[in-house]
Amino acid sequence: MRILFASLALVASITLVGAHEQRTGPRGGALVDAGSYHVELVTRDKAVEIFVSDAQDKPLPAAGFKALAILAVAGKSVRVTLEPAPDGSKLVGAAAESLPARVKGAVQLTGADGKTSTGRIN
Amino acid sequence: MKVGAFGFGLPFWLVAGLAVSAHEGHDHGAPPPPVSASIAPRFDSSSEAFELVGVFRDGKLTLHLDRFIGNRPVTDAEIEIETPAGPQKARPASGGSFQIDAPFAAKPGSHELIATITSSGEIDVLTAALVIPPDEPGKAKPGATDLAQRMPDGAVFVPKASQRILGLANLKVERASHPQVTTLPGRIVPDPNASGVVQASVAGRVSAPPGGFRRLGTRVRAGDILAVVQPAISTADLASQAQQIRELEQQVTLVSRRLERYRQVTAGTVTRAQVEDAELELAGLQARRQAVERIQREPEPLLAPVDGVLAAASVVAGQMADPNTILFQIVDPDRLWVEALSYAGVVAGESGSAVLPDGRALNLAFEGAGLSDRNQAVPLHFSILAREAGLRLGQLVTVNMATGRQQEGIAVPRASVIRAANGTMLVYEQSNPERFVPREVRVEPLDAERVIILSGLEPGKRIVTTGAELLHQVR
Repeated sequence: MRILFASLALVASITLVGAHEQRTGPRGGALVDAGSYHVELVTRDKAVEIFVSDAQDKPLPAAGFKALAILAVAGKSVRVTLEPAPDGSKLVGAAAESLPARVKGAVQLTGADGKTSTGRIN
Repeated sequence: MKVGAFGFGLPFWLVAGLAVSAHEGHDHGAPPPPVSASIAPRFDSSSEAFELVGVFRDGKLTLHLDRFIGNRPVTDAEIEIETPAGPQKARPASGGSFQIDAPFAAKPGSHELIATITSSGEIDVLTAALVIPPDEPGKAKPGATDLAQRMPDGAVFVPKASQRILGLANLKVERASHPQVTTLPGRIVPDPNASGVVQASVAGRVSAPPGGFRRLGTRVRAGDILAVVQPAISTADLASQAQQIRELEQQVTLVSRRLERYRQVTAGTVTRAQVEDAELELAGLQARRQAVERIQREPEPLLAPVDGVLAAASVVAGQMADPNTILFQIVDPDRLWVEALSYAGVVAGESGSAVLPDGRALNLAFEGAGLSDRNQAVPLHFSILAREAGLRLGQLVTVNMATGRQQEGIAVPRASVIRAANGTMLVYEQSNPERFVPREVRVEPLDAERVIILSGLEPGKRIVTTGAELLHQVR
């Protein structure tokens, strides 16, 4: 119920779609919703990392997930595919060029069941 | 961020809607998109810069890209779609849209897509979900084209293709402080310093000047002869004039005889002074006689008093003109005034604007207000700042005059406000790329082009400016 109220308040407070600020995750990356997951995208130079958690922000193991990040960098789009890291805590991928700490774009997450969900980073 | 998706399967949409609202609410979107059996499956997605609509039909996904503010089609963009089958570049298609082959969408279910849009140096990434409903036997198939229609909730669905035909444009509205105005009835009057009338000073017969009478609307210069009046003389005047001429002729004869006699007699009998006196007397009499004759013949030319255009003319050749009747009216169309009647004790502002019955606007500058009431109203004079073609004297206008007070509200173009059948005022809010929601509003006049919305609309919304009337016709 609390969540429902929060969602109502949020909808009421936001007058224009997309006008609200991008949220930041615990690791300083952009936090977005992709379907029923929360996805935090962290860029470190050329490396792109994605941390997946559930709707209650409880971290989920990366095993079984696949991800695709399309990022807008300096007027070009950069496409990065991500695979689970060996330790299973995150998904990792590498871009062809170094990325700024904050990027705009979108993340597509594919679960173990093959279902995909996307989230947009402002 | 917003992702909307709908197809013609209500259950599908419902599931998607529930999933969104069950989630924390970050993925909120605009109000639910419309659902109709006759509309092809589609998605819409928007950012601050663009809005993208994709329509799936016959194995192809047609993409319509527009500016988020203004609703102007973007036709020179590059669009790349990340489909479940890999990335695909969209190719330009008819009517400024784009197209990709979408064999992946033949399968029912939700297909997640990412669109990368590059347009004149701008890059934007949008996400969307295309929901394809399962095939159910006996269910209506979408038609060959999507038709604009009114939804049961009163909102209007207009597919992008139709929006481009209607030329729908939107505007993001902001709340601001605007001068409060009051509306007054007014009419167009001539500027007293740039207009004039032509009247005959004597009663007489009107005749055409050399070159004939000027046509209405002809430009004339000050001093141009517009007509000639031949003074009419009454019988009594004519008789007394004839008598005067006769008398003068008699005296001329007498004096000329006397002069002749003076010249014939020998010098010394008549003094030189006497001869000179007789000569002067004769010259004087002859001049008087000529003057009396001329009074009868001399016509009066009627001259244009100012530069301008012949606004009214009521003369025909041979007509008898009374003194004081207005034969011609000359007006400078570049210098017209508006006279408004204020029934309330209005403090005259420095500026105002007027609206013509056909919706055209005139900017006005306050010239002065009368002190004496006319029909219980104070006459106010405004000069028209910029020349407007086709103005006529006496034309009725509505004058919006600033009262000097301010009021908070949302200024919108006049054309975006529609009077509904039940008498209320409506504006259409573009809630989704293809969905328009009527909003009942309270409006007051602001200026000639805009009105102010005092309640009924939140700032930050996009409302339809051009084409609102056409949108309202959709049933």
